[in-house]
Amino acid sequence: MASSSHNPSILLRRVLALKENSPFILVIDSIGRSGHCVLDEVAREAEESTTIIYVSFETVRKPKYATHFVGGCKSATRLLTAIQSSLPSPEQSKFSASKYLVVIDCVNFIAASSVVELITQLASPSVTLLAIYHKDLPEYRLPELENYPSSLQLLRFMAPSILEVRPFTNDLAAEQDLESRLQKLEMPLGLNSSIYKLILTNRRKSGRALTYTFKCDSQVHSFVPIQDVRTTSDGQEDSEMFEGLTTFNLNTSHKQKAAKDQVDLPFLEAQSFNTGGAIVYEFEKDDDYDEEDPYEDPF
Amino acid sequence: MSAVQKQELSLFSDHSVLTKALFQQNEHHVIYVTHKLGTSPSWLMNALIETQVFGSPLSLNESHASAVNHASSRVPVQRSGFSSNGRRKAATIASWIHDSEFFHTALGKLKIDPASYQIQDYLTDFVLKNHGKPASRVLKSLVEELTSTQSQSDLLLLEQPELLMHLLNVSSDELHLDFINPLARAVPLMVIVSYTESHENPGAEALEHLAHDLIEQIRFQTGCVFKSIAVLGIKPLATGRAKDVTGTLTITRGGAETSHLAIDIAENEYLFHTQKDTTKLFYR
Repeated sequence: MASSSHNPSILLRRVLALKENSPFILVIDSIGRSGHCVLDEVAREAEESTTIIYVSFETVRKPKYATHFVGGCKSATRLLTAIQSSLPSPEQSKFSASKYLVVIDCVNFIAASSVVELITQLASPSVTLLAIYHKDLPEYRLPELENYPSSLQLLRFMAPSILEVRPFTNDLAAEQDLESRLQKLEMPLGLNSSIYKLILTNRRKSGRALTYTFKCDSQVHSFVPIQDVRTTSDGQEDSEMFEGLTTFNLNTSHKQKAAKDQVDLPFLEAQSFNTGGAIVYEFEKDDDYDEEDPYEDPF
Repeated sequence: MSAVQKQELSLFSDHSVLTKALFQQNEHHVIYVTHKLGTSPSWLMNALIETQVFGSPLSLNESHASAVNHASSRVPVQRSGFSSNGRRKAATIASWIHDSEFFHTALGKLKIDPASYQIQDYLTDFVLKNHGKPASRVLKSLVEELTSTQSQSDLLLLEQPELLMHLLNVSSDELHLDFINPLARAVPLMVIVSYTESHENPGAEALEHLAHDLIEQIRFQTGCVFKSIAVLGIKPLATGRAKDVTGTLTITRGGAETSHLAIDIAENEYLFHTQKDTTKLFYR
């Protein structure tokens, strides 16, 4: 579990609004809950000026939010050419401030041998690639490539942000029961509903991965982090710990906690810098700036 | 069973079987029907065609006696572009496991005028006609045949198109990209019927090795679930055989987005009983 120094919902909203420095977002889904709900959230959270290029391997009708609709094809080279015709050239993108989002609705159609090349060619600072991978689609692997990683392993390795969508279940037994039924393609009621579980894995530049689980509702667009019981009870103990210790009030009220959680901490901003170890410093009007400061940021 | 328990079939939250919202301009949707050993989907396919022709699945909803009484007075609903002289059909059926005679007999019993539907028989002579031709050309000609003005209709039913993978030696991805996708984008509503007995999907993360054919079969059927707005699953009773119940029909949402539609899928589970030529639905 990751550190609790910031609010997981803010991190998730930053990922969905494409504010995080992750040029490739992988969405893993199953027949129990398809990843289209995440696409809707991204289209809603992203800036209006974002150009969305939708590559369709299985979507029958063009979604409302898509600027360009590209039909998927088996040849990765042809597909790449088709997508790049809607994207600015590397020269143009240097001067362009607008963002581009390429959505691939089913990356399983692209062979494991060409998926890496496609992602490296598309993802860049100005172009975010969002690909849905259906984990229910088995993949045929040639016997000579038995020890080569599968597409899913390669994609998981490459993606700085991974969003895994699952149907919402109350306990592990219900989840296992659902999985065994879906394996036989026996669809129980209540699948693909507006309430689902979302597991966010976000890799920081340091290499540390933060993982959070959310209970999401696509109708009201809410993302409530699911905290384990241990973390919740620790919080209660903290408030009791301060009682009677000093004459000062060291406790924080619920309102204060909520306000604290909403703060977008500077380290989230620092992830977008090209150089490591940068200090985020916002100069204020009363600050005394010394030109010959020996502790000045060398970058 | 008493008549009180009898249910009327509805797939959408507006209590309709095939809602009008599906047939708006530039709308394209897929519905997936799965069935297992011992539970034939013919009655459900007939009910969908009947809905398209008469506006509701009369033979499924009515009692047998009243269905016989009202059979002569059935009037097809008027749709845009549809006329009884056959210029535009209510439905097109393409089957790889039944010949045209099978459908003519079944739909004839429901008093559906043969001029209101079109049958593409891909069981008889399919191999003889296409032997030696490249698979891509065969798929292209099939798409052209099914979307030609002569057979164009609002509802296209494909019965077990997965057999094309074995008949033409194509992969599931090729079948989806070159056959299912172009058809789905050409017709307002496409219904795919698949046989899913012995479907056992270990998923992409499983370490076990499956036969190539089996992987393609699973990929095709799972791909159809992701494309559909609704999945209609027919299966026998899990508890075994019963005298008054043949199986269950489960209506669930599929993987495709439905937020653009004003109405939702009416998820439900029915029991059904097939006796001679009639099928009735009951509360679960």
